[in-house]
Amino acid sequence: MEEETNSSIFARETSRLWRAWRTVHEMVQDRGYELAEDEVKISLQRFRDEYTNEDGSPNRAKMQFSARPSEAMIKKYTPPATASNPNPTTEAGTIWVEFCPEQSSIGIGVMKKFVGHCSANNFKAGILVTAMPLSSQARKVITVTQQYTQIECFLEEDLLVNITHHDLVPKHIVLSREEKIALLKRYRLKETQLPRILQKDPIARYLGLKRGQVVKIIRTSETAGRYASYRLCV
Amino acid sequence: MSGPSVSAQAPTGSQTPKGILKKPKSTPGTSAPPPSEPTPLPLEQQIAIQQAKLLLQQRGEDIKPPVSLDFFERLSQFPVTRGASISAANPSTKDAREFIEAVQGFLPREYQDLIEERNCLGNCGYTLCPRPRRKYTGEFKILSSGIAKVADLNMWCSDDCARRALFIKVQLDNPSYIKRDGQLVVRIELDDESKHSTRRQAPKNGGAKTDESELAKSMERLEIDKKTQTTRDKTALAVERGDARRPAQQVEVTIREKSTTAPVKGPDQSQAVQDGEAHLMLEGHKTTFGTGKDDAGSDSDDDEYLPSAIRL
Repeated sequence: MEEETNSSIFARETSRLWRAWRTVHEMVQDRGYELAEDEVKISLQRFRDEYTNEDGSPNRAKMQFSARPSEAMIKKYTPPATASNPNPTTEAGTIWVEFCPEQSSIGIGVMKKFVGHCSANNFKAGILVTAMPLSSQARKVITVTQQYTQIECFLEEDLLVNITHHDLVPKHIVLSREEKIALLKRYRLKETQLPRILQKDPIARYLGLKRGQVVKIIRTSETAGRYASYRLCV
Repeated sequence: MSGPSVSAQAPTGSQTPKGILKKPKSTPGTSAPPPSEPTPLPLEQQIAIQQAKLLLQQRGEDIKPPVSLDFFERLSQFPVTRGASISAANPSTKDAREFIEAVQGFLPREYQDLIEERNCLGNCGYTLCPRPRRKYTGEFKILSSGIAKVADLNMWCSDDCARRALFIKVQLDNPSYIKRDGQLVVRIELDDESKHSTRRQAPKNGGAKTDESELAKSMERLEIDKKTQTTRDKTALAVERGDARRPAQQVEVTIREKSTTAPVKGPDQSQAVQDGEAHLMLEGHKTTFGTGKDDAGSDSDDDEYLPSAIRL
């Protein structure tokens, strides 16, 4: 009896983790990183084979991967060349994704270890997926180290469904720096005159928006067919 | 009594009342003297510098810099010295001193963070306790004293540690200050363990005496608190006004006179004198009480219409 309940708990947890695993892959792919299609669309059976222990419990310590930015993404995140800086380097770099095996809430120590791992291996960005919320001081670690490595944290339960696949969520496209300048010029706007989107907005978190980036939102419209609006991340 | 007042309020025609407005200068061109003192910096720059200084000062005084993460890391792994004789009730003096000195710089919010941080590592929330915290499951727990949230219980290893940590928290929430190296710091002391043990064993015997000393202690604390409160209020007010620490830098006030174009005339009162209302005039205007009925009401047809309406 005991054995059965244990295995059913493990099965449920594994399928939850499988969904989060798929969502985080889709998220990384949507941001413009290179991932193979069979990595993203992993089946539950394969996931179970690869990421569970012998007793069926999920092995979070094994759940980690890195991804390189695609050509398009490198181009998008390269600042425009200027006279003083004719060959600008891109801001896009490899990303490291890790599921945290910690089952209690995340403290400074765990967070520092993750940040240390990211910076030691020259990852430009890191995503930590946790089962429990962060402590407020651990959150502070992220803000302190923000200028070296871009660290983001997601809860497993927030990644169970991919919100961009929802019917009511319109398509969001991040604009590159040139596109943003062209947009502001075209409409003769100042940055502050654009509508805004919060950085903590679920979509903004999904796309990893930084302050000052502009996102183009394409909605379907009954009268106009497609309707584009722009929002500035604040 | 009415004699002098009538003579003062109703002057004769030849005696024109003296206006309060200023006589114009004979030559309007030279009326406004230009401020010719050579200033080292333009005014905008001076104001900007003043503002920046003020902001710097306010940041120094109002917003305490946050406690560094290293402190949290160190305190979350406390106590450093562990042994059979070391417990939360009987901590090593070195650890206790370090804890108190660290906590003196904490905000209540940061102390809460420290407890949270210790719980993340599985330690008891009270910093000087070497034991791990409780790990009940579920949402609520039935105790002998009632029902408690498990999340609250799991923060500590025992109720005694909860009490000790709360004792620190209360002192941070309602701080009283002592002077150390010429600076006021929050006074923190650990809970008196002997008091609790005696009280629990013999509540009737030593009760009155400990209460008395407790009362004296709290009175003393209140007194200190009052004194520091007034000084704090004063500095806060000074910072708000923006004149603290800058007594030498007074604000420069330039009085610019308003230029007048025509010679000033007193109000014409001949009409009022004829109507016999001169005693009601003030600077050429008659004061009414908002209704305006005195002047306009008499020749409007309201008066005639209203009584007829009532009659019907």
